[in-house]
Amino acid sequence: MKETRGQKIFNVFNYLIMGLFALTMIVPILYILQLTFSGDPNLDFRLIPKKITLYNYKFVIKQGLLLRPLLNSIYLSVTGTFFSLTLTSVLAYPLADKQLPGRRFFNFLVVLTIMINLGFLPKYLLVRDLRLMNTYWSLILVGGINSFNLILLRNYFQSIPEELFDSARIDGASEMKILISIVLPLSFPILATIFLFYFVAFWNEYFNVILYITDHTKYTLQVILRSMIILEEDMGASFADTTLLDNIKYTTVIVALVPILALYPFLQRYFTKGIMLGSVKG
Amino acid sequence: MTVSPAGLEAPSRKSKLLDQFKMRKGLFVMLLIGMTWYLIFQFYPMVKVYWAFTNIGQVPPSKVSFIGFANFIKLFKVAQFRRSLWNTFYISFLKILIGFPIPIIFSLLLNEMRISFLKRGIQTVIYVPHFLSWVVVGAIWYIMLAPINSPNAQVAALLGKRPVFWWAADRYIRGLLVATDIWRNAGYGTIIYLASIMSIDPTLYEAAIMDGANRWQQTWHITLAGLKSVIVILFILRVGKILNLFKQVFVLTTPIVRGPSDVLMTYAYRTGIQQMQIGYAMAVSLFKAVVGLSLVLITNWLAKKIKEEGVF
Repeated sequence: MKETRGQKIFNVFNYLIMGLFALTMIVPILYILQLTFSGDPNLDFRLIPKKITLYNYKFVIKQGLLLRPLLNSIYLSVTGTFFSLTLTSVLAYPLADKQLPGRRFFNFLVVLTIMINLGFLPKYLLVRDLRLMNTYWSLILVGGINSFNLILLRNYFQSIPEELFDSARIDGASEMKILISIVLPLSFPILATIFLFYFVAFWNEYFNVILYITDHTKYTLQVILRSMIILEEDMGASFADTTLLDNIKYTTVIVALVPILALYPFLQRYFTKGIMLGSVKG
Repeated sequence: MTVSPAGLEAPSRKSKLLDQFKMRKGLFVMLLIGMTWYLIFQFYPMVKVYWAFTNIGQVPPSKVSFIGFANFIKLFKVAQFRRSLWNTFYISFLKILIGFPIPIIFSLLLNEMRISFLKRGIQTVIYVPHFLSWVVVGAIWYIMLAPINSPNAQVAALLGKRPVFWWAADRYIRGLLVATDIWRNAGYGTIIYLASIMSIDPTLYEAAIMDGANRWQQTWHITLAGLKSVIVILFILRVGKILNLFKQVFVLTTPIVRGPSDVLMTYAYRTGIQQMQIGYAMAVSLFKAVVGLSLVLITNWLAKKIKEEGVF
């Protein structure tokens, strides 16, 4: 099919607009990435540093300010993700079972928690009453199940044909065994999606951390990052040379970004499937 | 379920339930574990809502008493609360007005692309920001827009102007909240719409081409028409979430720009957590939850009217 003149003009504009949009998404990230490899105190816009140096990273490692928050973030994200994934699977399985008495009621309760959103205050009081303040368990337990993820997983479990576990049931397999050895292996794509969702959520958590954690040694990367850049606090590390603090700032942005970017290809692969399964009809 | 005579149904159903319980104990144990979490971490905290009707936090603990709706009456007398309510609606309105159509337009534009490596490349990068935390998004744009020694200052110098400290300016903060929201989420929305476009029956396009429809007509009558129900549903979900505006504002704003950016939940944070007026802050939270729930129910009811089936 031959394109008309109008279509050609449209195409040029289309590629231009969408190309610009796409560049806006990544150029700021690339700019900050180059800052971490540059020793130049002049921060003018560029994508490749005048002189590439690893000095900033070496300095940050030697100075050690980021190590603790980084380890905290990793610990919280890994533990939280596995806890959430387990708990979500354990509940999604009975909720997907069409013979479960009261199934509609339990599913209604889940949806109710999405619709009634009282915000942080009641949960803050609960965490205080349970004496979980200043522990990572407060964050892990409160973030235990995300109802959207639960619904996603439940819907996927429902789509598995029941005949697959009928024979196992006749053989006397326990429900836990059916979940682990039949249902979960069949649900790999959706489990991967939810794994990634939980991991990203825990890694990115900021508000609950400052709500439940007051002990500075337990702060995560996100907390340190906001303190340094948005609140412009000097983190107790007083440097005579402000460029040293600046170096730590930019490096922190990249350190907070890297796990997300590393997971991004996987997010892409499973994510569109995941949202298509669950976003439109809960 | 099949209908059976009432007299026969009751005993057989009961014993069937019992049999099932014995046979599938594990199922109920799992249900118990999961629902216990819901009970403790979702429903039990809701009970604390009655604190909204007490003066906890305003008087010494020994003198706490029920004060009815006094907290709620007080809310509307407090200028800061009214301001935060207005800001919540106003910023959300701006976000929907400007931010909602963008992913739809971009998905249509992306769908028109025929050079597949460019299309795929753009598709790959546009939703990177969606997975970044608000803190990282904030960090990136605070660095980009810093008043001195930054790309912002560089552009100002090129234009011969004095650089603006955008994040500390009352006039710009709402615009920045809208812009960063678009920056973070528009790509993600585009991908959702694009995925829906992919599920449109391709024979519809073939038929339209046979009928002599040009690309613009195909876009209007098939693609956009096919997206209509998704657009309606996403719009409704979006409107239902208007009052949830919180984390972005909390992370990206500082007290300097509180006037135009203070929203309901940041106000609740200040009164409840920082000033420990828990009863009063609970009233703010309850007000937000009730209005939010009404919005969800009304919009969902509207969706049902429009399309016979709701979102939940």
